[in-house]
Amino acid sequence: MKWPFYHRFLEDSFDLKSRDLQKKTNKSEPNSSNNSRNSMNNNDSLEPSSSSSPSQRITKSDIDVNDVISSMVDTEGHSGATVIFVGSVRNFGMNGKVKGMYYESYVQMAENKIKNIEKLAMEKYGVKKIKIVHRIGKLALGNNSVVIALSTPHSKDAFKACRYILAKIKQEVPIWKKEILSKGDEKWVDGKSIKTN
Amino acid sequence: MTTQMPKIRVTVLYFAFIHETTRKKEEIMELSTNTSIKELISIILTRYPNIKNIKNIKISVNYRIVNSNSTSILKNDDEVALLPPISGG
Repeated sequence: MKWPFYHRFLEDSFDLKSRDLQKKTNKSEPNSSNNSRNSMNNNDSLEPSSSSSPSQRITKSDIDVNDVISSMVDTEGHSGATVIFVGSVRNFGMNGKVKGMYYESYVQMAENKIKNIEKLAMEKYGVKKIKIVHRIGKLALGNNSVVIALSTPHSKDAFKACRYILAKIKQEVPIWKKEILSKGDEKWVDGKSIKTN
Repeated sequence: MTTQMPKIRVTVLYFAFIHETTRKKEEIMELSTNTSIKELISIILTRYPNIKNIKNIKISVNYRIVNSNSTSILKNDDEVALLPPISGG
């Protein structure tokens, strides 16, 4: 997915800004319903380059793609390429027609795993800035479930890194999804056994 | 007078379709001090035999994947999780 796709979001900046402000006023408790043991561990040296607030790689809130794009801006010019992947809920799945999706996660372990994936991508592909967010809870069709954004000096590495990260998320991060089917029932998606290194 | 064996308490977490089998997402288990990971798994499978029908479950202790046959001894306040195959992304 390329920048021009999101240009329309940028053009609509006034509307987005007001939504953003509204969201921030409601943001005081985005993860408050999580178990206390799933609270953030900020001891890791690798922090996202995106914001001054504590990192939140797993969220119950809507993922604001524009915020993620903004976090990739590199005023010092170390990066020449930014790639963004947005995964969203589609209307068909492994069990037929889908009207929504429910995601569950082992939040603290998922945070740790994603942090480690970020670190590996930085080492392997020379990633300069990176932000990975996965949403959990009940999602409607079209909602963003996962956003990966990263920047590198050259585009080739950016595309490779993005694919690498998505594959690692699917292999290692403890997240499960349940399809909410159009015919009324709900079914967990057959997944893959967590890959251990 | 009977002497009480020392005990430890560990939290056990069940995710996704596993908690639909156990009917609970977590529980605190009181174990004797020298209980291994392997022994805890055996206790869990005795309590919830239907878990045996779920393939490829991984076990984590304090967020790290461990071997389910490990004879490592659990400590007080350890957090053990049963992780079925994942489907994020």
